[in-house]
Amino acid sequence: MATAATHQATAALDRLRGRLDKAGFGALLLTSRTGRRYALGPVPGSADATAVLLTTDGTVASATGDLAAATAAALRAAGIAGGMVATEADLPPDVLGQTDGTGVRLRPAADLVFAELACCEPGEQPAFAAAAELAAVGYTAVMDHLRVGMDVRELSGNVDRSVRRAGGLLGWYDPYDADGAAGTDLVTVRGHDPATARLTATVPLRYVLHPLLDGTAGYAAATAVLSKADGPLRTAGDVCAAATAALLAALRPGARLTDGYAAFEREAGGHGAACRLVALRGGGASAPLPPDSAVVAEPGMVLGVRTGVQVPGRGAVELAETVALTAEGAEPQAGTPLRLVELY
Amino acid sequence: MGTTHPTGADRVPTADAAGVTMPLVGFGTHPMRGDQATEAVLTAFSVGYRLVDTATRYRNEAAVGAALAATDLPRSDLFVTTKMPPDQVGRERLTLERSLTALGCDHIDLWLIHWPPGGHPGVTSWRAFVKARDEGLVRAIGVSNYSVELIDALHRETGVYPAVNQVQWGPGDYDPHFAGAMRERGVVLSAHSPLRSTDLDHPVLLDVARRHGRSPRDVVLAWNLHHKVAVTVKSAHRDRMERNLSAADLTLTPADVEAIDGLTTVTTGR
Repeated sequence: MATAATHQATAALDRLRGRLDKAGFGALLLTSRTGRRYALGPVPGSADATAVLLTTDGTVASATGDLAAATAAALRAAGIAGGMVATEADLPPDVLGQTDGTGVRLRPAADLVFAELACCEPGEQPAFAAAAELAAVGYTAVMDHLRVGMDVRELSGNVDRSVRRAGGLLGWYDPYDADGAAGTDLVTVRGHDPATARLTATVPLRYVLHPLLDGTAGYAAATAVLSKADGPLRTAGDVCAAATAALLAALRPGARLTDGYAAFEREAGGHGAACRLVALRGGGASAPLPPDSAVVAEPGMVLGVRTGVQVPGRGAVELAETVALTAEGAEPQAGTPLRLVELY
Repeated sequence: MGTTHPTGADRVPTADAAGVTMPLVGFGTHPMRGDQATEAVLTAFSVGYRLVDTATRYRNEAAVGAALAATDLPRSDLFVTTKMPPDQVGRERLTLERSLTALGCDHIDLWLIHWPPGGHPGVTSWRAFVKARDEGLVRAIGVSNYSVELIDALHRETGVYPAVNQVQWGPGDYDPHFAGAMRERGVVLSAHSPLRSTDLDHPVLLDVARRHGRSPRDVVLAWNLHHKVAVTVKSAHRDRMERNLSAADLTLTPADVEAIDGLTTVTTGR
């Protein structure tokens, strides 16, 4: 089923349409969860749409069903029989083939969508700062209480209490589908003994925090070892810290964001390392920057940065931060240590 | 914002923290930030607080430093406590230097290890703390959230006991064995969150409060002072700051204290 309506454009949609116009597109087809939610907002049931089509003249059309049918329906509902439509990169090629039959020409729009999701107007900065702050609260709630033999399940309780005191909520639910939800926070933990759920002195503990406040995600991750690190672990920690620093240093206005990927690779090459940049707006899905992206860093962007280096046989060192891009470069927002933490 | 020199400061009892005179009532700054923290600290000074408690974790040291710079109280009249988070093991001096810079001070009166790093005593950090004290960068050193066993481990390895152990401590947390162990080792017990574990509507507190014409909150603070436990209280409101400080004027009877001691919910030793 498809619906079409001419919406009173919100500021965000206006901005997205401006990007479309500037790029020479007549419409944008959003098929990812993040993209759909960003366009439709936190409306209950918005996740049901499979495809959302936004045109430069103000029409928003959404359709449900399988992707091919929904895409065709959204195009029909918006009255688009031809012209240039941008699509997110994850739209399957077979869908493109079917819709080509209508005369519509489709072009990838992953960069356009990523740039929109990453850009932050001055008035939105407090929301990003609050989400990053909640990540920092979660970090402290975990890091300060670690001990050898601790049952890893205690950690979520600690984070829950601290996040509540800070005004957020911890839960494994989706705030877009829950009326009145103030936010969520997830903590994902690795590194405990799987047989006992307890922490050991030598396996690095990794945890990732994903606070989400009003559709804006914070981003932080940390790795700690509950002893003095041995050689291989310290090497991995040092490599990850240096490569992460190189990535952040590369995120300067005017440079391509993928220059950060290249800087990371140069520093960490050959160590089983990986990194990614994500946009933090549009819900908790955190759209990643495509490896071949041409998006250029500009002041006002807020990004999630995640890096990792494998430790053979013992997991990995993983780090993450929420960074705001300014004229001077990348500024960490959560302020968690971008290095292996040794607790002894 | 200027400050005055009230007489309120004179009525706050003090403790000997390893040779350093420490006010037993302090102003806690968590979770205040920025201008709110600066204004609150200046107001606290103006009503008579002289100890201000911050921490690297609170991310408000610069705001507290702004208050220290703005007040007309001499630095020697003030007592500044800050804390190093456990994730700074091996980076103690760097952490201290950052705290000194943010606070705009050439020394800190009391520097604490905020939590036992990884549940360990943190001997490496403690050695760095002792060195910083010996160099005059801090006047007294201590710990926070430490058990008796962890404190003994620090002493065993270095020969130095902490001057202070700051823990969550209120009637609900009361443990005479723990308090006695601190006393025997010359460690000043300091209470953070003195009201968190306490039911302020408990009939015992309500009765004591009614007989003294005070609030249960005042009674809890006075109970801590009776036990020579330092208390850190926080509020952004001037009237509540004054009321908290006035607990120093409240003298509980031995029967009051015994009844409040009985509110403990502690069943095992720390």
